[in-house]
Amino acid sequence: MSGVARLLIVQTINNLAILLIIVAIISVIFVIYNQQALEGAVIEAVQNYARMIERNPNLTEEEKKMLIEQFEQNLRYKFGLLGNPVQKVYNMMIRLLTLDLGNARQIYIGASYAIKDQVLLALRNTAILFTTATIITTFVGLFIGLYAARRPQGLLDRVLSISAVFSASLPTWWLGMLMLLIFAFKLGWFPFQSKDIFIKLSELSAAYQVGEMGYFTYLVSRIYTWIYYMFLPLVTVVIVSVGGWAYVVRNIVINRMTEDFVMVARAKGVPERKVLFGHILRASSPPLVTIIVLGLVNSLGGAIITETVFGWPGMGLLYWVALTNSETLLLGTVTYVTVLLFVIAVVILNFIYALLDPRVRTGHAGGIGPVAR
Amino acid sequence: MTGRPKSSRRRFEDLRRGLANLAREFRRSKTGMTGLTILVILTFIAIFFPIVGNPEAIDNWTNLEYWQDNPKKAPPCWAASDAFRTVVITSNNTSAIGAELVAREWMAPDGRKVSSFSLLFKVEKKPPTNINVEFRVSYKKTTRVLILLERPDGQTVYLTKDPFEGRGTSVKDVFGVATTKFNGTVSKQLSSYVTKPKNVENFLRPWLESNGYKIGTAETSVLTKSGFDILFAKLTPNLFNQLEYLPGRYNLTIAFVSKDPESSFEVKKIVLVGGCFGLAGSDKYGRDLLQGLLYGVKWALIIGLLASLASTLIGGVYGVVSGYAGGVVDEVMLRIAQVIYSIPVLPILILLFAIIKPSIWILIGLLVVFGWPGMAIVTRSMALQLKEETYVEAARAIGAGHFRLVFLYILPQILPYMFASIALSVPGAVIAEASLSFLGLGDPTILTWGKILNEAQNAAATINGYWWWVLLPGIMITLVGTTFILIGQALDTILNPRLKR
Repeated sequence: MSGVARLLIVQTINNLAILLIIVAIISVIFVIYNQQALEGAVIEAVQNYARMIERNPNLTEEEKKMLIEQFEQNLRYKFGLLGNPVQKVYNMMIRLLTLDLGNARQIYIGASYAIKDQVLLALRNTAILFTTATIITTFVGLFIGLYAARRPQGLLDRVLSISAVFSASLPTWWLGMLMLLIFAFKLGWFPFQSKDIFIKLSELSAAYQVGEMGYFTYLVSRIYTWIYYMFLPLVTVVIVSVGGWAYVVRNIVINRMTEDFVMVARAKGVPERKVLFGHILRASSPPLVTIIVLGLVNSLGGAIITETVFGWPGMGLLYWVALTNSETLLLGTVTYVTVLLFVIAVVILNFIYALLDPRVRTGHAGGIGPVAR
Repeated sequence: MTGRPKSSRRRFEDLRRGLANLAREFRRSKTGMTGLTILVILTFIAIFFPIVGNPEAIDNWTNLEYWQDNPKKAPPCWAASDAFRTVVITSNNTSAIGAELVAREWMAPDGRKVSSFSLLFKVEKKPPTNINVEFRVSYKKTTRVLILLERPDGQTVYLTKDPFEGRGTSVKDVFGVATTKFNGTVSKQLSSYVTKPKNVENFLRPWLESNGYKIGTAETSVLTKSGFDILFAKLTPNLFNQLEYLPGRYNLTIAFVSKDPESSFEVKKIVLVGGCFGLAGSDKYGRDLLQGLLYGVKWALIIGLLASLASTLIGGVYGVVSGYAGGVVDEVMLRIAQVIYSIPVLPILILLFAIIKPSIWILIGLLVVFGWPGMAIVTRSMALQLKEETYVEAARAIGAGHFRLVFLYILPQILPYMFASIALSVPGAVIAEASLSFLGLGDPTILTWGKILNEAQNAAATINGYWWWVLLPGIMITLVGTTFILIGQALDTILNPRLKR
């Protein structure tokens, strides 16, 4: 087996193990919570039942006691309170992993009560927002970082280090609230809530199919709808993550610049632009991929809360409604799917890493060190 | 390296000198000193909050009665120059800037005792947002109330019936206490009195109709919302669409007319509630946000420093031990650290605190539980290099034990990096707490900036434009984060000179 394949398999197994551990943690939290909540419900029901049969004069004390006991046993059986807790955690894990979770009390998103459908729909919407933001951040950050590294202590570099400081210390969702205050409240350019984006889009395509508008108008208004609803959340996430990311690029690139192969390239008369993009960036790409993974996964938490601020119909909004409606099972599922998203991102980026790093390809290095967060 | 084993005292001497060097270079770093200066100021605010701030405000934070005389949802006064400034009139202090209270008593010809209180106040640009009145009263016979407002344009608005003609308005209608006998304190917020549908119908409507306005259902609904503002409005033709305030001198008269000649009425407090508040504005209960902002410093520092200090120390020692041990032990320890490092903290914390009762100490504990591996992975790789150094080998050769080698020979070398890490991981902990509080999952017994932002979000602050309520707590969070990042970056740059170039 080649080095790449072995490394990828090891990394994937590692990540799956991490996923399983997290699912186990979520399941344990659930089982304990359910046990407590239902135990309380059983005690209350049994007390009510006891009060009810107390008034029945035809029963002896013995019979009453037996009836109450039977009632309690039945309830415990019905609520699933009996049995081995390990077995219960295992069952819960299987249910989470297969997303076999039944219905939520309400339809919060989409058109189905099933928790699975709602979460998957939210996942899709989050992926749309988040992938776009990540792609923009990655390229803008690379560009800024490379140019800042060319002239350390220059104007761009100074601006970059200041923005990196803010990047690390301001909550994304708070910046989102500020954006709303400026661009939605003060200027009125964008909407307060993005919840309606997919409804608006399907209305548009329905109108197009009926033939109410031409293809060109349809296309333009489709693009307009996307920008109108997505601009603020997108820009917020990008602004917060790009500073820190560009700063990391700058640091890694500056470290690489002192190495001999760069000097050789320059001495050979390779154009500076080519040195920067062809040599330095190429050599820096493995650690940069690591940082992208870390940054990506780190910012997802903040991005999720940002979604609640903008009402973007994704995982963040589901978190919010699950919290406000005490839909604990839904909350657990959202948590699980978020983690799943992390793990998938990490596996994919591991693959890219293996492709980029020649040492990995020849089987000499250990792959991405600290994987993800 | 001389190869000669160093005594432990020399090791400590090296460490001391190393730290002294670090401190000297740090003093030369502009960013580092900026950060340190802000940190000193923040620490000062946190420790001396009882002097700098008002601890009474924090003790009464959830006691909404304490805040009732403050303007609600009011912007800070430096940002609202045209707003009315709050004026408080009490029994011992009957004249204040912009307002004066005149009390008079006389016997009416029909034998009733009249106690009249006239409040003269000046409106420059915007009127008060509310007028809260509180009287100490005592009477044993039927008593009626007269409230009327004389405006600068010569109009007089009756807010009660005239007790000298017809039946009048009883004490009960205004203050909700028995009309024939009462001894105690009565109070009323005039804006809620004026906008009560019955009073809109009986008093505001006739007044406006006599000025030629047509009052339909749309106008009535405007009056039940902003009837109090319309008392101070210019009577322009489009009064109901665009309200313009009428500046000048107003005279609010509140008179008690009692059949009991022995009755007594005195002002306890009259508050002309302004349209702005303090330096940081107020929230929907009229709470002074400045106090919340100042008080929050303490908890932000506690959360940030405790979580980062504990996780860096634990992670640092763990990593050094792992790297020093090597082999299978190292492999297992590293795997454990990597697994924990890969757990997305925020989602797990959200789930956990949705189920258990949130507590600040549990939160700090969990931030440490999930936060130490980052440092551990770094220190492990440093320890792997350091343990091959000749001075460590020499110490081992003369019989230094494992404990000694790890804690006296390797760890001190790594200590400066741990300082940088402590500083750099503070903002993450502060933001994590703020995020949880923002979702309503914060410790309910503690006031933090995240909680203030949560309340702002629940009051739809972004949609209503309560910018001060959103902006200022976030700036505080960012300030604390920035402070530590500046310090951490300065340390980092000193320790990794290549970054400076």
